[in-house]
Amino acid sequence: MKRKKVMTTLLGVLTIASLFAGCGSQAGSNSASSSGAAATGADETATVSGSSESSMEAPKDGETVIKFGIHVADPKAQEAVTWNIVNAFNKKYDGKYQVEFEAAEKSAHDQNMKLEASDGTLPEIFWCDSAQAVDFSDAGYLLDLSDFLSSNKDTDAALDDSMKQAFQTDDGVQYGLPYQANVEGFFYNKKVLKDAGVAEPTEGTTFTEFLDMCKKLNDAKITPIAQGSTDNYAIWAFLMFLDRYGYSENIDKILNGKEKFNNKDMVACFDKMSELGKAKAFPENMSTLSYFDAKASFEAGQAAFIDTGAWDAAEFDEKLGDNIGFWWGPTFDDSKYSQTCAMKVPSAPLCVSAAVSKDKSVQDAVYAFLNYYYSKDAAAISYQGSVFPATNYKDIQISDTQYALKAVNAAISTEGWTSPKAQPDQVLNAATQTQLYDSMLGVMMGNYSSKDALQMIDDSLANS
Amino acid sequence: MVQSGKKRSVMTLLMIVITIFAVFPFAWMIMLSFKGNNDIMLHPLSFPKSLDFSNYKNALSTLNYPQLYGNTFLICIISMAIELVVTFMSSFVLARMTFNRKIKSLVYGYLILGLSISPFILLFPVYRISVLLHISGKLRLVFPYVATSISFNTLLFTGYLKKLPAEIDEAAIIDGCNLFDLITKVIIPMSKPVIATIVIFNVLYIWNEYPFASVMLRDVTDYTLSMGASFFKGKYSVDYGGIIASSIMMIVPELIFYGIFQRNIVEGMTAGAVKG
Amino acid sequence: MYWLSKKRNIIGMLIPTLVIYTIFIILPIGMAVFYSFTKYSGIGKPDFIGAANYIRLFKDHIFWVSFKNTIIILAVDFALLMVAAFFAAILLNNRLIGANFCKALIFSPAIIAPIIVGIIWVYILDPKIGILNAVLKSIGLPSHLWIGGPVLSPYSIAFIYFWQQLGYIITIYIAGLKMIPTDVIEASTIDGASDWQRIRYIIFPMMKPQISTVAILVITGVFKIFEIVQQTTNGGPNHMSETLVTYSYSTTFSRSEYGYGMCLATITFVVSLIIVAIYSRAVRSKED
Repeated sequence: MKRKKVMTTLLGVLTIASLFAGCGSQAGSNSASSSGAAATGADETATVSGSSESSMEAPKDGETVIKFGIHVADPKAQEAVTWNIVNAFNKKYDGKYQVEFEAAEKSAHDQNMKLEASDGTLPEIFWCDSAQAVDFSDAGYLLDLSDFLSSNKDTDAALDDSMKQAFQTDDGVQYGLPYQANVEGFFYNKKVLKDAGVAEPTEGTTFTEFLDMCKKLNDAKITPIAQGSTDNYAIWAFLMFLDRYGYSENIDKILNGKEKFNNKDMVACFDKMSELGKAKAFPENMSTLSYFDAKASFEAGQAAFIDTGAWDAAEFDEKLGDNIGFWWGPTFDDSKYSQTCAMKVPSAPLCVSAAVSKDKSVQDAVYAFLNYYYSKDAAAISYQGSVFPATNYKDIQISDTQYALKAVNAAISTEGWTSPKAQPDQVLNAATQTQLYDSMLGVMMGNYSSKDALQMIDDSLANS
Repeated sequence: MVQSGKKRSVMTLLMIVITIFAVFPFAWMIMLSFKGNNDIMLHPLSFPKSLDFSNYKNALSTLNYPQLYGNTFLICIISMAIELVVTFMSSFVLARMTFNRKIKSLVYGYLILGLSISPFILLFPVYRISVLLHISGKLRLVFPYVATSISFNTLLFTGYLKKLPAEIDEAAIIDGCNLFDLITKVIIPMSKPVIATIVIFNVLYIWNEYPFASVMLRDVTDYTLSMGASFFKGKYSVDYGGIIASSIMMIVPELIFYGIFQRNIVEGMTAGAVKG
Repeated sequence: MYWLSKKRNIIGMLIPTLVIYTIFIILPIGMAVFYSFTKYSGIGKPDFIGAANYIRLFKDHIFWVSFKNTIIILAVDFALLMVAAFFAAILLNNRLIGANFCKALIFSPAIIAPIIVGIIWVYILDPKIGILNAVLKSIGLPSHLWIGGPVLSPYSIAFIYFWQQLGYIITIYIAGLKMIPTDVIEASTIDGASDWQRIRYIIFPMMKPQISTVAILVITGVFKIFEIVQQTTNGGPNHMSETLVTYSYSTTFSRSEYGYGMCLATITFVVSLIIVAIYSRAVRSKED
């Protein structure tokens, strides 16, 4: 009985006390917010605070601070190259400029950028989903970087036209510049292939030959291609299939409504993915696997190939050493389009908030950062971390133990092989892009017929 | 209740079976937390070869736990204080005060509506409203949390308060209680089981809540525990070991908390002054 | 009570709740409904397109798949949670040795982070690497595509939800059981009532408020199931295990079709309200 009384009194006191505390701190924070906004978020350091070896420092007086919105929560671990470039920049311009991350995991980042655009708090520079960048640009949230390029010739020259064109509108607005270069295709495990008695694929390996390889691998109880489906965006190597059936040649016509996705070439292309599925080229439980699961099984030697991109190069070096090989994928006899396709394409863009032009010192800081980001120094940092920068600097050394990167580099350097101007999925709006992934995976898993799968992409395009 | 020994042992056995059913995945998760990332993905069923604390070390060095706990705790306390006071008052009105029945059921229905709403629909609008109201920092989360609790609390509080016999109020008033005394000295002490239930549910909701936190919080120093897991999943890489370890760091206080408060439910009315 | 029910008291005590609720719940719902009549990517200005989204919805195959899945999950969980949790609560309310400890453990699934729930259940249900099929095979029973196939996924999701919510629901039932005066139970025992009679004629009628609370929570809860689906199947393969919520989420955020996503969300909200209304009416008419 006594305890009960004590409990009740305590509860009462607690509720009332915290109510006051609640009101008090709220009023306090209101005033803090207005002054905080004026200070360009000087108090918002995106370092993972508390981690002792973090090299980000608090901004000093007179430093112009700009924010960099990035699509991972922990850039130090998950986008190490960018983290290093930013730190090198901060060191170089110590006392003058400082770049701080505003970091959130991809889907939260995408949401945040939309919300911040609506209330005018966009970070000065941010990574932007390629399907959304056009919308941001049309709504007037982004700075046209044409002026930046024309007044900074070195940076302009370091970026090939293909890297710039991907983020230009028809009337010449440069609404973004590539964050990095993506190189995508199949990595394979040389040892696994050898043990199964299968020869390594070459540039000329045809689809029929590839099907035969899959059969031999299955006989040896090896999954031919590690492939998941729950992260729907993981279909990179298969984008090359599209390209080898004339996707890049025809996409403009399709988007203008003169042609359909559901055409003869694309049906033939989707049929190939469906044949792979029927030939058991993918794991039995593909429908419940994620890209990460697929990668783990490839690294453990349970699968011979994996569909991914050069961003995994550092990881493969560590796990598989010199057993790693890289291949663009099979060629197709029944296609009338060029088969000498490579896939080195601009990744999603970095965009600059339009508000930057209102403040000269902020604009200077942003331009200085972009110049550094596309400099040779930054490119060297990038290669060190096994990431391809968007820039075209030639004579940067790749270390002997960067096996995966070397393999990829060899594939890119093949004379006469050309990349499309953009990654095939990235020229589509978000809805159609998602449907493209869904349709491709659906065909591979045998859930859709090629025609139905393509029709769904057409429907999606019509709706959006 | 007097029961035969045989029956009791059957019941105990049944209870243990249910407990194992519920707890097995949890126990498994603790086991997984001592395994390396690749081991988790490739050999999820095997026992860890040795007790490997590296996932925890990794979680502790990546995340600033004192701050995460502090923020979560603060948001939790403020939200709980406001919502308990506010919803207890309104539920008291709906359950025990006399006024136009139509209006009463209309208000009740209105407040219950929110149960059907999935929080992510509210994300964009609530963000905009918070910006309009100039609420910033971690306190941005307080009103959304209070608001999303209203329907649930109304449902439970009114359901419970209605069942308390009406004579209590009358007796208290005859004894000279005013409204404030009646609520604080009579009704609240009698409502311990339902208050405990509501505290448990809402504290755990706030403790685990991710969608609002991810949209409303910008500054890492404001982050809450539930955002910890997102530090281990990038677009091209995932660290299940880190995710699991950080989740366990999040869960342990919750289990302790639940243990304490569910005892309050259990004690409940048994020693109470009133019997129906 | 009448004496204290002054208008001033009533209004004063209702206002804080009503204000917070209206600003942070009802107003956002209104905004969502508004967007459901627009075409909007979340960036820039929305275009008003009238009822076009609603027309599209009726022709949308995936919408009907997710509708069907949601109803399956609702039916399974309604049966499981209402009945099984009720008896489990009565069981745990007996003063058995270790009951409190067990209660805490049974509650534990409810507080495991959703992403972990996903990982764990994938290892149980996965057709290839899951334990369940391994166990079935070892005792000579056929294995099934528990998740990742076209048929069983919604049932599996319903089961996971049951597992996750069991502790919650038991807690509510126990809070209700505690309100039944012990002397009533004792009297019935002395009168020689059997266990079943006691449950049927004493406990069940006295638990009616808790039972309808639980019913409403289960119905509305099922219409909010999200993380379990996202983490186990992500709606796949090819939307076959999508629920109304996951479908409207992926439409809104992955596909950036904010207008159509809000249209799906509005319909989900309305359907859930209708089912709650039907249930309340059914209960009320039975009581009359």
